[in-house]
Formats: sequence, C-alpha cells, structure tokens
Amino acid sequence: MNMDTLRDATEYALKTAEKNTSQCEVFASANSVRTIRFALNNVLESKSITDSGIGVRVVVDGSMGFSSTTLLEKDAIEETVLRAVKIARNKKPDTSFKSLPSPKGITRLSTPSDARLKEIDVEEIIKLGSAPLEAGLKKEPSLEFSGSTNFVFEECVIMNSLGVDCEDSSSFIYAHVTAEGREGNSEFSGIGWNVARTIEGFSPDKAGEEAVENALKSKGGKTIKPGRYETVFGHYAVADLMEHVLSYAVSLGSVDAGISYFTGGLGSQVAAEELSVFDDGTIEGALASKQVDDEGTPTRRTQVIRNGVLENFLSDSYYANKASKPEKLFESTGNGFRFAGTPGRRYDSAPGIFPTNFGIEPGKRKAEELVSEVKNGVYVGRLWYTYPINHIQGDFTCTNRSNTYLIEDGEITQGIAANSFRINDNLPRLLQKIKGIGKETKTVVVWGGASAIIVPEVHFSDVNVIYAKNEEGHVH
Amino acid sequence: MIEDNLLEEAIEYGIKKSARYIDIRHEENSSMRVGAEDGEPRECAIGTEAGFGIRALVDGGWGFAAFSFSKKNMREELLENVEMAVKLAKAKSAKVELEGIPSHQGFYKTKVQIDPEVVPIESKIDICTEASKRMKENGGIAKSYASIGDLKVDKTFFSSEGARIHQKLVFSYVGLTAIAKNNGETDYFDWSEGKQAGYEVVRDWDPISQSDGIAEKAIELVGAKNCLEEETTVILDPDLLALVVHEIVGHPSEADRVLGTEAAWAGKAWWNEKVGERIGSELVNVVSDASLEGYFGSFKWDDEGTPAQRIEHLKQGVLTDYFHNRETAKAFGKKPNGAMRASSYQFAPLLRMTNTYLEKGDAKKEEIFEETTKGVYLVGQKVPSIDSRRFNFQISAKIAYRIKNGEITEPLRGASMTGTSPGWWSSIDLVGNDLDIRPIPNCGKGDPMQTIMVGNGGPHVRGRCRVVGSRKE
Repeated sequence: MNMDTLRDATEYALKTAEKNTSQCEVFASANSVRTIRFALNNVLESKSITDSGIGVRVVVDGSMGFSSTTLLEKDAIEETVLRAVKIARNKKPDTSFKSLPSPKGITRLSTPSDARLKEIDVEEIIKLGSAPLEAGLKKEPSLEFSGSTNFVFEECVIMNSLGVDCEDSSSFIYAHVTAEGREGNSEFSGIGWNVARTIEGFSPDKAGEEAVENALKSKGGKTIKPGRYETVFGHYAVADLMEHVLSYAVSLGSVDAGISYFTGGLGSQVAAEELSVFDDGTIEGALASKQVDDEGTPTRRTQVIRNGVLENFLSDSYYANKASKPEKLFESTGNGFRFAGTPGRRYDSAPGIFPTNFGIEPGKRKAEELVSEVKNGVYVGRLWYTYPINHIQGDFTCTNRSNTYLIEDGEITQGIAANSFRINDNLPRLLQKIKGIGKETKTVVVWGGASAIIVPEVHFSDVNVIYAKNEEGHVH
Repeated sequence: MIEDNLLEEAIEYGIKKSARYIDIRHEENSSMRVGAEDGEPRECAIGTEAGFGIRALVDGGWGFAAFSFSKKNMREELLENVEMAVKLAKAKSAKVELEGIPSHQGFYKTKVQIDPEVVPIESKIDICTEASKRMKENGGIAKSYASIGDLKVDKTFFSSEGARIHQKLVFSYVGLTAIAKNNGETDYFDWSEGKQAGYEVVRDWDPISQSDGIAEKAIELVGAKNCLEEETTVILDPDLLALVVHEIVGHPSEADRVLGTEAAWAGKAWWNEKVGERIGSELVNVVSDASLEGYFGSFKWDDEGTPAQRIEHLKQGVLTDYFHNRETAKAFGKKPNGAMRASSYQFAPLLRMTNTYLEKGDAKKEEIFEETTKGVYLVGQKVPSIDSRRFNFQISAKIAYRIKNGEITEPLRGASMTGTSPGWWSSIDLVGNDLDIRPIPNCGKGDPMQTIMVGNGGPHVRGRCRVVGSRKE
C-alpha cells in the first residue's frame, strides 16, 4: 500500500459522501507491524501485520454516522459511505455536535517517519528484533529473558468537506526485556527497554543490558510489612500511573462524563508545586510525535498541569465543542486519534481522545539525590496491573514486579522480592505528596498503550502498602 | 465467502516454500454499535473487515503474517504473505513440536433467533435514546448512557493437515450506565448483558425496562458510606465471581503462562507444577466449556482446529488441568483441549479462556444470606489487579452491602476484595445452586495485545477475605 492509493481512496470516498451530506470526513490508514517475541531465552514468534482501510464520518442534518471497511475498491467505498449516510439519516440530531474541524494546516516535523521501516527486509527485522534478547543473554546467561521488539510504520490521509486535506506518516520501534531469576524462595526481576522513531536511533542492546543490571540489583529477597512508605517511583512505574490512572482524568471526554476526579478542577491546585504535566505531539524525534491528529487538527503542546495547578484538558473537536460554554471555551488540542486493536492509528473507529507524548517535566534532582532524601523507604521501578479500581475517586492498586529496592538511610541497600507487596492508594492524594522529581526523563510505551510517556522518577512522601503474602504463605 | 481452491493453493505454496505445517484463517467480519447519552443519540458505527492470518511452522519455528486484502490482488497478496510467514519462521531459536490432532471438516453457526441485521438501526437507536432518557429522569442522575452492539464473525480455517472448517459466529450485547451526583460526590453504576446469540439478547433484557433500576443503583451508591477495611465474610454475586474466576483461575490455567512463555506482559502462573495439589475447599469446582452454546466463549472448533470441549481446572478444590494448544500439549504430555483463539485475522492465536466458571453447588441463595450473621455482599465486577503470577489479587465491586443477621442492609461504595488465590478458594464454605455465565468482552493478552470475548461466571458464593474501600482523602 502506498500513500497514492490511500489518497485515491480517500478522495473518492469524500467525493461520494459530499453528495448526500452536510459535512463529511474520510480517514484512511495503512499500517505495518512487525514483532519479534521472545521468552524462555528463545525467539518464540515472528509476526507481521499489514492492515489498511478507510473510515467515513458523515453529518446529515446535525446527525452523525460512521462506517469503515478494509476494502478500498470503489464499490466497497460507495457501500461504506452509503451505510454511514443511512445511519445519520435515521437518527435524531446530536445537539452536542457543532462541526468537523476546519483546516488549520499541520505541524511540520523534520523526520516524521523512517522510510526504511516500511521496506525493511525480514532478515533485518529478525536481527534487530532478536538483539535485545541476545544482549541480555550475553551479559548474564543465567537469567530468564522474555519480551519483544515491535516495529511500526503507519501512514494516513485525512480529508473533510471543510477543506482539511492532510497526510501523515510515523514510525516507531519499541523493545522491552524482562530478566528474571530466583534466589531461594524469592523471585527477582528487572526490566529494560529502548524506543526510537528510526532504525538509526534504536539501541536494542541497551534494553537487554539494562534488564540484566536492574534484575541483579533487585536480588536480595527482602519483603516489607504493610504501612506507609516514602517511595521513589522509577520511570516505568511513573509511566504506568500516567497511562492508566492519570490520562483518563485529563481527557475532556471523561470530564464531560463526570468520571474524572479532575471534573470542576480547572485552575485549582491538584498537585504539589513540583509537578508539571504536558502533552506534546510536536517534539522532534519523540516517539509519539505526529504532524496532525486523526481528524485533521495540527498537533500542539498542551500544558495540562503547571506547578501543580490544573490548566487544561486534552480534547478532540467533538468534546471541545460540546464542553464549550460562554464562560469557558475549549478548542481541540489535537488529541483526536483512532487507536484500537493493532498498534498505530486505525481506520476502523471514529476519533477518541488520546495523549501523544504525555509527560512530566523534569525536576532538578539526580536519581541518587532522590534516593538520598528517603530515610527509610522503597524504590519501585516497575508496577504490575496498575489499574484505577475506582475511576471517579482516582483509587488505584498494583503490585511490585521489577526493579524494586529497599532504601535505608538514603541508600539502596537490597532488592525487594518481586510480587511481594501490593500498593493501594489514591492518585489525587498522592499528587499532593510529591517530594521531589528527577532530572533524567525516559520514554516508555506500556503494554497495550498507544501513547509515549516521557517521565522522570518521582519521590512520594507516603505510599500505602497493604496486606501481602508471598507464595510460600508467609503473611505480613 | 472465500474460494476453497485459493486456500488450497496458498497452503500448497507454503509447503513448497519449506513450511512443515501451515494454517490459514480467512475472516470477513462486521460490527455495529449504537449509543445514546441523556436521551440523545451519540455514537453510531458500522464496520466491515476482511483479511487473512497465516501461520507457518518451518524447522520448528513459528512465523505469522496477517493482512487485509484488496479484492483485485487477493491471490497475489495471499501468496506474498504465505512467503512472509515462512521467512519470519526462520527467526525462531527454539524447536516447536506439535501434538497431533484429527483433521476436522465441518460447519458451525451460532443459533440466532433474530438476526441483528434485520432489526432496523433506527429502532436500536430509539431504544438507547429512550433508555438513557429514562435513567436521566431519575432525580440525582447527572449522565446516562445506553449502547447496543453486535459482531458477526465469518471465518474459514484450512490447515496443511487437512482441516477444513467454516464457522459463523454472532455476538450481541447491550449496556447501560448511570452517573449520579449527591452532595458534591459522583459515582456510577453500569450493567451489561451479552451472549453469542442474535438480537434476542437485547429484546430479552429489555434495556428500557432496566433503566430505572440502573439509575436507582447509581443513586444508592453515591449516597453510600465508604467501605471500611476489614477481614470479613463476603458473599459474591455471579457477576463479580465471574471476574474473580477469570483472573485467578482462568488466566493461570493457560499453559503458556505456566510454561513461562507469556512472562513479559501477561505474566506467569504461581501454580506451575502444582497439578494434583489442593488449592481450594472441596466445594470449589471450576471448569471451562466452549461447547456450551450461546456464550461469549462458545465455538465448535478453536483456531487450530481442535474441537471445543469441557476442561476441569479445579476439581473439589484440587488443581486438575490447564488449557492446552498443540504446542503446550506436546510439552506437557497432554492432549490439546480446544482453547486456541485469535481475536481476529490480524492476530496469531493464543491460549485463551473459553466459558470458564465455578460450578453450582447445593446452597439456596437465600440460605447463603440467612447463614451469614455479619459480612459484606459484593455485587458486580469492576476492575481487577493481580500480581504477575496470579497469586495476590485485588478486584473492585460495583456496589457492596453490609450484611447483618442474614439481612442485606446499608450500601457501601468503593469496595474491593483482596487476598491470595489459595486463601480465597480455601475459604469458600457455601456455593449457591444458581449459575450465571457472564459476558467478558475485552480480555487482553499477547504482544501486540489482542482483546477477546470470553464467558465467565458461577453462582453466589460465600468465603472470607479482606475488603478495602476508597483511599480518597
């Protein structure tokens, strides 16, 4: 599939839809995803997905319809448009809908994608994709390695009847390695990862080597008792909180529904002054930078939290229009994306609100300084199943999976056993308990995540650890 | 419908290109979803997709290639992707061996009373609109949502060993959500129904008639006290038990997790090498059965061509069996038991739950409550969190109630249950004689992650665990 084919299909669909609608939009995408997956110190699976299609959104008398197809032949396009029109014709208007976006140009990135990733041959995919495993095995063959390397190349065309006419392409590579071992009755685990937009920028060996370093540092088998702990969250752990417990709360869609704990919070101090949170799809070279969102709005930088004060929510055009009131106007922040199913932006759903490069601005402290300020506490580098168990309150729970260490008198003294404690806390509460933010940021893509999370390490003054038992039945 | 000779040609081509084994799934799927908010129509979408997923085994290595095709170049693209799967298979560094299975030929389709496609979309929109309007009319409801949807899967499976299988599956679902506000507090209650069936799922549940009940629950919840942390007796309804069974029996029963091949993301299983050991009380019997018709995890053959069957995971509290595909069956010296599924042609199949549930017992539901002097009744599944070996868990409930002297009394909000798998299953002392297999629409696994529909459930049960409430200050 090439951009010309996508463009031809998009133009034809738009031309067809314009005949019967007051507004219409066509989004066409073609993605390729290549995956090398490894476990038990072997490459287990090598996979390729190539997928393309169009999604048509139409407006008839204020009512919207959406239809999609993988087939890009003219008859299939006509049928898809017809279905969307039929849906829109047969329902009452959506009074919250005001308009599809008007053309506002695109944000120009110097290297939106690495063209080599589109045509890369299988042998090179296998070599690059297996390299994280090989690097880990070379450094410490006694550990058990699992993980994967994913190579994604995406292309899309967006047009609407108001004149939006954009193309975009992006590429990204992400490799994750988990290294694990057992020491007596306890398990230790380390994670390493590497992400890049281009093959040239990808350092697969780092993922394997860092996993080994973090796993070996986690040895020790220490367990902790329930209680409140000063805790430094490592990059991956902070990213988990951002992806699963913070991102939905800063979406204007969640605010509109009333399921965000930030509803009604604009302008208020929602976090300690040290915290500033942004979303920025325009950062050159950053993993999730895009030139335009999936409804044709140029990407931008949005300051979500500044010095602890909630300043903005992320939005697409629908929710910006819906939430706007005379006293407070919203506009799309260029976060209308179509992420569902396989990695990359996809034709088969209408836009929803998703972050791009979603991050925390770095603080001033080196990692060792953050740790040195903890008298007795914990460093947790990777959490597991960090989910908001009560969305509206911002309650979350998770366990410690990897890179977890005991801190005594400001120093990391020994590893804490993997899966040995459960955190049960509330993010709005914790955001007020930030004591320090690290200066080094890393980019993380969490499992199943569509965004890139760019975060430093964060020191919280007290984190609630509840009841935990290990497999040998030892009760804390 | 794909032509058989094209699939035959592609399989032959793969073998010629050095594949020892090859299978091809061709799928043509369609989906419909409509929704309404506060009495106004919202999301309405129809999608169709068509593509192929090809697995090739070459020198003991798996390669997989999936693609959506253009009608004009279908044959050429199919052969190119067969070749791609064969080339990718050469990356493998461990040798896969497959347990043998008979090659099946056959056709299966979901029993449907009302084809969802014959019900006019405007009628579905009207029902959602009316149901959300009715919820909103209840004082205290700030937002209300209703949705109706269906998915039709038409898949053909051919293997180089001679399997020729065609299955047409239809799934239908409906859901309501009410968000209530009271004294500056907000909370929500939602419920959904779904089956492998036609539009009768929506007709029978009748969302309009359910709307006041959902709204009342949301209002009850937002006015409730926060659940306090305590170790106590709990009674679980079938919907919450469904998620508990899903997370701490279903997932760790997947033999790929047991082997460690899903360690990076989905995790492992703490009960590796514990088959034959006691995990729970004698009242705990957990099975999977894909051959039960009409649920989200029902089918006739899995995506390797193995027939659907009943699997006993926990028998009278003792760990008995895992889910096995052809590869893990060989590794464990077992037979494949029909649990290998992909969520669409885009993905390679994985070991997945089917309809996994706790079997009913003897206790009448009323007796379970009558025999409980003090405890908490936990209702409805919300969100789970489980450690990477599926040992330690915390799962939140939609709503909870205090039980005093056998009576359901005040409602509680923010409640979760937490504990360990053997701790929880060993504490089960009453199992109801009711049974409900609930729809779980979005079980995630794999890399890239794929989400699939499964059925999970059980009866009302009583046990002991720690309950915790909201940490909000």
